Amino acid sequence: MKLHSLISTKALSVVNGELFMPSADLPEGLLVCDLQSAFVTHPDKVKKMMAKFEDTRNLENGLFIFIPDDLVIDRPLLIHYHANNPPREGIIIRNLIYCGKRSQVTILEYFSGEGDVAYSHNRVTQLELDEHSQLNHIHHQNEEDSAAHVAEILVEQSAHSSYHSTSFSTGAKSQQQTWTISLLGEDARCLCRGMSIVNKAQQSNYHVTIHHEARACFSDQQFKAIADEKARAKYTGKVVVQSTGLQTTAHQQSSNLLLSSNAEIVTCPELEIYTDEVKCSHGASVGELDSEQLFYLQSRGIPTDQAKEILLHAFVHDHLDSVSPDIQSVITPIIANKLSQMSGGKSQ
Amino acid sequence: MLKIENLHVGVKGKSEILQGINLEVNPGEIHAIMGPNGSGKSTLSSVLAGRDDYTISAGTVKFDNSDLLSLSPEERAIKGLFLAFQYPVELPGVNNLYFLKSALNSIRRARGEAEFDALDFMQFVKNKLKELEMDEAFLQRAVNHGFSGGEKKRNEVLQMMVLEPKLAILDETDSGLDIDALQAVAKGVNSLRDPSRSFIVVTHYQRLLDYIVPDFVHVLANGRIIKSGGKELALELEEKGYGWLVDEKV
Amino acid sequence: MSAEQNTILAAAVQKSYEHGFVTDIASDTIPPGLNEDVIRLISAKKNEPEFMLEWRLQAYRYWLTMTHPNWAFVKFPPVDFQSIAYYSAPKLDTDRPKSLDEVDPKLLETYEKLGVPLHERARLAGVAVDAVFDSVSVATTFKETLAKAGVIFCSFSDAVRDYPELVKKYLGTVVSYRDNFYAALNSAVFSDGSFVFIPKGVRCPMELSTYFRINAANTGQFERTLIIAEEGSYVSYLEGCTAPMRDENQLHAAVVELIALEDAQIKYSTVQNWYPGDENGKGGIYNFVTKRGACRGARSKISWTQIETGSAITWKYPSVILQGDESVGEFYSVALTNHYQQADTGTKMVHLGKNTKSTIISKGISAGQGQNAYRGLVRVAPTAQNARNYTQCDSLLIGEKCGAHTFPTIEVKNNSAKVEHEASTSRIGEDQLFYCQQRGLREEDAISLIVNGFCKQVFNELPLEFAVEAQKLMEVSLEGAVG
Repeated sequence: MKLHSLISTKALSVVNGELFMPSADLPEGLLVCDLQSAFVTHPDKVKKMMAKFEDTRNLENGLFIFIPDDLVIDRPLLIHYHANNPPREGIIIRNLIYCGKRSQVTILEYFSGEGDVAYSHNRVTQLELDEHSQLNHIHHQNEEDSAAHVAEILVEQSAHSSYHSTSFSTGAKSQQQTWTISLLGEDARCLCRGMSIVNKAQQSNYHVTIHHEARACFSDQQFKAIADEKARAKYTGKVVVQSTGLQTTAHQQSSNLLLSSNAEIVTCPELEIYTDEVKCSHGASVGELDSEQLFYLQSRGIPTDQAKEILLHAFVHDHLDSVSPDIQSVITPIIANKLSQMSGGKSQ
Repeated sequence: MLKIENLHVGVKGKSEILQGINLEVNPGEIHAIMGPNGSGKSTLSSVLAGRDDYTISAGTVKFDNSDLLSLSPEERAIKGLFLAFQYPVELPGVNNLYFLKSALNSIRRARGEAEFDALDFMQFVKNKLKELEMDEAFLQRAVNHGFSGGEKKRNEVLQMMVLEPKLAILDETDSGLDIDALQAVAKGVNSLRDPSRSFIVVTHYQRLLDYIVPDFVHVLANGRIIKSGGKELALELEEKGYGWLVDEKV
Repeated sequence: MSAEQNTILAAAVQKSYEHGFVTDIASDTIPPGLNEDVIRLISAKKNEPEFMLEWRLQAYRYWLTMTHPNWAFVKFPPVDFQSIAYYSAPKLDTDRPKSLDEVDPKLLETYEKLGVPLHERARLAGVAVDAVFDSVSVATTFKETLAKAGVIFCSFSDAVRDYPELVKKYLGTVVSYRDNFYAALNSAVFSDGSFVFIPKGVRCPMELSTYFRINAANTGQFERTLIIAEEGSYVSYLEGCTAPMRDENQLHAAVVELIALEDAQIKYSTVQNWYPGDENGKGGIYNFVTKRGACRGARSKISWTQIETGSAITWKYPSVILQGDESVGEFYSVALTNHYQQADTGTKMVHLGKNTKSTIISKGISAGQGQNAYRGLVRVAPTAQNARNYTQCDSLLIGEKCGAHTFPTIEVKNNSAKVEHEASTSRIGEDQLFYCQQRGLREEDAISLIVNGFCKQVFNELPLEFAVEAQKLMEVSLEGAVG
């Protein structure tokens, strides 16, 4: 819980799906409210966004984040979702995030829980990036071992917008994140990263689809997974280039480490392309820690366990490094802690 | 042989790159075209070879007294125009020897000449390789694929020697070459010198012209030929740079 | 090599479907329709033993419970299985000729038009001899050579009659009739095919080959091939396929089973040039084939090479089950779709044994309105210690209306495995085209040069004669790909 308090002091808290406005300051100019209030303050925007995704669930909780045109904030907006004796039917959240023209914002969403009771976080997040906006979006799912985490994330990008998302998954008994990103305006750019670090009987599943519908758009998916013990990590990535998606550049890379003979990795990097003016590539690899590297470290006097840990840290490094320092300071200790559970020398 | 009159060339989304080029090249002559980066040198080479990324808004180009600009790139090649690319293109999986033979036979066929059979062609190419001090292993590699910069340029010269063009345009063939490669390239070019064959040597530096001595030197700046002279002009440029000329003109 | 390539370029002047003629031969055809009686009739016509009929009927009954699969990336109207004739054989079949002289001259003419080598003409005509290179006179020598080596190479019907024990032992052990919809149908109605048995320690002294051709209208072709390579043996097997031009779509649903025992090697090459339909997508063959090999023994190896340029729809995944320790599976594929052709092809490599290795090289070319999908599965089971896979699948796009799709799945359940996958999709390079044109090549020659370069890794795996044919086919198939 110590780690959580670190983030809580600066963050908006959403406990069991309910928003508690922090006494702490929000970055200026930014509007954050619960969905119910947003129906009153921004009825048109809310209705229009909600019409794009039919949600049959019981809709009570959710956030509305409105970033006005031209707003540029250096300080990240931190949102901490926490489960604390949650209802049996689970916590249901519906979030809408709108990034106005030319705005530049960083958002971290962090998920955690407490207690031994099984619970679920079940959320739909819709994002709309208007022209020339930039959103740096970091997720960290670090639920309790008993939890189920289900997320549906829908992103629509207008021309010249730029969306960077980095999603870490260390917690939950099972998690399923489905990302659908549509590049609707020309020169929209999307960089989508994911990292599953799972052990015990954890299951992590990322399903990412990027639709290239406008010309000269760019997308890059970089997904990594480390699976230990009896865990299973799956990634299905798809790039769909429509005939309107001329001059598309799209990459996919899936890199995976399998640390135990009972763990499983499944990866399906798929391409669906309907025009010829494209440059697409994908790559995937599955293997254990590189024995040459391990040997090299050992030959320099580093004990096996430590050498493995070093290599695991190296494996997650570029994803971690891509987020801003203040966010790194929040999630790095959690990830380091998770990694230290894994490199216990079971694998060789 | 080649007559360029008032050539204006633009590229989509940019202003005119060539703004009225006039140039006449007679059989047997070597013309050097020099100029600072971005002056339009490579555009001129590409337009002459028929790359279709450009729009020609005015002017004419005659090659052997017929219109060049209406021809496809391969028709130009068949008529004897050769471009040594600044950045030779890699063709993975396409055997170098096979490529050379296909090109040569395609040209010979179009001219109504007998095609080479495999054995004769091999002998023919081997002799050329010797002149360029190139290893025979070269022929079995994929065209330019995985070649070093120097190897690519030598390969361009090899192709030129095999195709024996009437007019060869060398587009910055010297860039990125060490002195040995430079000499080998020059040797190849000089071996092709002939009263009926002409060259246009496009270069940024004077150093190639020590080995391939031009009859005329033209300075291209801002899309125009701003000064022409004999080979001594190249030396002057080497010494003073381009600034004085460009400024003088402006 | 360059000499061959030169002839290829020269020979590729005539660029339409060359094999689209129909041969007028009296054939013995069962009227269209499918029920148990038809299956009994097929079995009776072939004088099959009881076990064979039983197996067919089991397959048929199972097929009736199945629904047509719809997961593939191909579109076509539902197939009416009652409008297909399930059996069609040249009348001569009952009274087989003893030598080429006795064969219907029209049939021989057909093979000549196809450019089928003489040995294949003989084989197709049903002469007992199977393959020769160079001349007819070697034919007998060849037969003797095979017999001396103990190699069995015959039609499937002959095998059922002459080697029922072998057939019974291996048939359906790699592709069960329950495997999939078309495998079940094939098991019920297959008419003929090839049977190969290479005994222990024998290196088959020559390449074995068959040439398939669909001739009669409204027939489906359901052949079945079974190749068994005993311990330490080696065989290279080639198949080629053509069909006449017809406006209706015709179904070809074959099953190929390969079995490699300890230290055995099977190399299976296909050049598939079924009629692709016309440039408006009318007619053409539906090529729905199940091909699978089992590396049963340690250190065995199965290698698939396929050049798929024909068919309106190609839907197949030649696969390898790597059961034996240190066994090796390979898949090399070129699939080209032009006009309205569709292809959904790829492979499955299932690693079960220790130190098993697989390689997948797939090259897809889409032109016109063609849709080309690679679908692959690499599965490493918990038992497959130190398994290795390398996959490379590249797509080349020519024209803005075609499509290229890649659906690989990698499932790894053993942490000592190493699996690598690389793929790229790009259009034919403008720079490459311009470069070739600047050297005097016509645009279409330049395209075929670049495409052949793109496919080279796969062509290299083919026996030489086939490599030449494959390159020629690529040029013919790309006809009309550029405006």
